[in-house]
Amino acid sequence: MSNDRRERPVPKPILRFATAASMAVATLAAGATAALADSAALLSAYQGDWRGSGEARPNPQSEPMRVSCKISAVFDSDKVALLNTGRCGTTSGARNLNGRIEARGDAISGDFLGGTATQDVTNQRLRVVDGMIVSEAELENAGKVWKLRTFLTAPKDDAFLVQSQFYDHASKNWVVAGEIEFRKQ
Amino acid sequence: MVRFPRFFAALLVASLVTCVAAVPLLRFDGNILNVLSGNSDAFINYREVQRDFRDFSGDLGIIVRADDLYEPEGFERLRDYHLELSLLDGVEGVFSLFTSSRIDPQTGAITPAIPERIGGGTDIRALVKAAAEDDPLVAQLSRPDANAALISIESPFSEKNGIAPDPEPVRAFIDGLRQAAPPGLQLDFVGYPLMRADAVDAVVSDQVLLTIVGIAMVFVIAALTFRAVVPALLCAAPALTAIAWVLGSYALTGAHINYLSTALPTIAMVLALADTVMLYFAWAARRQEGMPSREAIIAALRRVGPANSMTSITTAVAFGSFAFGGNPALRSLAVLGSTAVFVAFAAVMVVLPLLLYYFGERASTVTGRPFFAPFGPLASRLAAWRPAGISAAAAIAMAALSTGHFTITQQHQIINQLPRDSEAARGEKLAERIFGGVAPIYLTLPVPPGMAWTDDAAMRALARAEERFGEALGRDRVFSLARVRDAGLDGGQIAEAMKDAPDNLRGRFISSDRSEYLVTATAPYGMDPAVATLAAHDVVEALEAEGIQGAEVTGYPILASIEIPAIVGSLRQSLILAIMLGVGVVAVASRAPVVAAAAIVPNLIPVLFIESALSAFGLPMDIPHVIALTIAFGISIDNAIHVINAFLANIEDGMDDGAAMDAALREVAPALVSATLMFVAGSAGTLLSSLPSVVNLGFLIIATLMIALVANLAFLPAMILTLRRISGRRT
Repeated sequence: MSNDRRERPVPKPILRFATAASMAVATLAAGATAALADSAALLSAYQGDWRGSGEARPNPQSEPMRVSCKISAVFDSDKVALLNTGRCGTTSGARNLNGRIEARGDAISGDFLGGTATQDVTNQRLRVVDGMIVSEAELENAGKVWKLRTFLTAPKDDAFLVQSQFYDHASKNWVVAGEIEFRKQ
Repeated sequence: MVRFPRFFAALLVASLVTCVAAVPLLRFDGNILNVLSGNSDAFINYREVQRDFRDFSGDLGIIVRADDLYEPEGFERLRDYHLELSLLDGVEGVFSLFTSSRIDPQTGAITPAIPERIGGGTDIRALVKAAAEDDPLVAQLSRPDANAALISIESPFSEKNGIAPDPEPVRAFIDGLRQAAPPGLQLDFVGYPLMRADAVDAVVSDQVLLTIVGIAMVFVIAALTFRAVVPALLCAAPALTAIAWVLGSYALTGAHINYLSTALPTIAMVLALADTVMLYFAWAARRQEGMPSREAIIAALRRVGPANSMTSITTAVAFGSFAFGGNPALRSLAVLGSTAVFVAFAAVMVVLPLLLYYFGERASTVTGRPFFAPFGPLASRLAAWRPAGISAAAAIAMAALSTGHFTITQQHQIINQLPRDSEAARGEKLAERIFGGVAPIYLTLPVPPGMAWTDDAAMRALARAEERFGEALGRDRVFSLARVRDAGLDGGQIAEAMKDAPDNLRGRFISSDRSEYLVTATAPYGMDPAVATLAAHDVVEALEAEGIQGAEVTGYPILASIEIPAIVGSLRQSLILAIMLGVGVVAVASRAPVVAAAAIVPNLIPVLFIESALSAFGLPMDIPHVIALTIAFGISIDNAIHVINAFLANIEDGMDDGAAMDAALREVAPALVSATLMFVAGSAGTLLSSLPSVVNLGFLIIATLMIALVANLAFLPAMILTLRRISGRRT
């Protein structure tokens, strides 16, 4: 030990700083890599063909309507991105969806249902919380700005859940706007 | 032919190989609307709606039935089916009684006309009926009393998408629609893509059937006529060549066979057989006189060739008269029909001489007494009995039958263009019975000048137009943006909704440039012409009287009800023209105008008889009917030509009128009876067609030819003798 200590050259201040910096970067990089690996694992779990059914409100003022969806999700491991194509419909109409969620470091961005459920939303942010993808956004409707959040559970037993909630300022509670359960085909 | 037999034989074999090889390339067209295409205002407006609003050519209706459809379980299955359809590949839009919703202008809350959650014990029939009172879409798409509902979908088989409704993809698509249905729902389909697919299937199967039956009949008739194998085979060969050439030429030129032209190859085959028999008899007669085979061929061609060419010209003229029908489908029929006639003529003139050149020696002695020989003396005795009296009777009969020409009505029945028992025909009948028809009719209304389309005053004009349209067609069958406004949206909200709406939804209400409104109604494809006229003209006039200008009404039922009678009328004029031209050709070619004029009455009688019979039975004149009459006239005038040709030849040989007519009838009457029976037998395949229009066409051709045979043997000789006596040309 002592020999080692003696043989090891003492870093100059500038070098000490560099080493610390490089260690910090390395630590951060390792953390980011781990986060990226987690995100990649999470996103890749959605890969496959899914059919979903549930209910969704066309806007916060309305009662829920039945909704059906089908999704084909492909995971691009190079870009660490999940690409969804499909269609969601109610008896009032249907929309094609082109969703994309991408991971960069420990940050993820994008939209799982490609704007189908979150049309006209602004300030959208995504994060992974407890293995779920959580999206927070704002929605302007009928002259009011509504807070909106969406939970996307990790696939388990070939099923996952998408739940959207909006914040009701009157009751100061989060109210479920829609919930769709997806099952693998 | 006789000079260069090897060259022509090689040419014949090469052409046959080419044509038979090309048959698989044949194209079939099930576009049952193409007879309507043209330059009329209604048709131009129809295309403008397709261009400026939305392309409705791919719309399909699904008639859903179940005993428990309006019970809680069945009703939810119907809703589930709607949701499944909205996810199906290729389905671009779905509309059902669940689609309609109302927007609260105060809160913006969207409330479906049919609630999303229905409590236990709810009387769903009563709920739907109550919703239908306020909501036109629910009224239009639900029939609680019939346990039925209609789901309207936008299929990919639209002109805009450029995907033709060919049978295979349409069937696959419909199979997908069936598989998406929850168990317990009975489905029927209706709509233009299915009609086209079924029509193509029917035309293809008809072509196979008509060809097989036609060929079989050719052999049977030839065998019966000659009661010997070699002459039967020799006479069958030109007919078979004709069908190969006709089908091959259609395939090589890319011509499409449709329900109007499907019988043409058979007609060409039978025409060729009839001419072949005439030529063969002439050749055999000369052989029996001891003439060498080669000289007998040339002599027979000289004797019968002019008559055959003249009959071909008159039949081609009859087909050519369709060109005056004024639309591309009929012009195409004119070209294809005339081509088929000349191809048949060429087949006779090339194939039989060649075969006689090579094989005639084997057949020269095999000629029995014509089976129908007794008809010659019979016709001759009748003509000689009281020519003036018979002529007067013929003229009176023609005058009496003329009333039918003026009293018969005209109507196009789209159901007749669909194969019997086909999915499309079943769906159309069901749609008419349960929903009063599902064919869309459109009223377009320009936004009043100086106003924005969202202005209240403009919307009020639209509401008035919708009301007037509803009065003519039924309030529960009409909807427009005015109803959306009634549902609670103001102009600004409607503008916002239309801005966000996809084109296929926006196009149901307003044109892409927002300059015109659309009011949509539904009706049967075979809509009553009186109601169609009321809708198209009276509604527009009533709106103009109220100061609402520029409304136009269109849609298939309107086109069919208003345009088809015009086309039928035009075709009937063409038929008269064909008769005049046919007789004119005979007059010029024979240089005997008085004799040619005698052919008018006997050849008008069959046409007028059929018109009177249809009128007496209350049947309207449709396009296939008038086409059948024209074709039949083109063939029946051939009988007259052969009688006239033989009569004038005998006059030239120095006989007096009586003797010339007696000899002519003894010569040609058996052949004419035989040829008519050939036509009848050859056309018999049409009676087995799955397309009612082709059956009608075949039946009318057969009936007209039978009457024409009687008229040309009973009346024509008497008319010729009488007119020549009156005009002082008797010899």
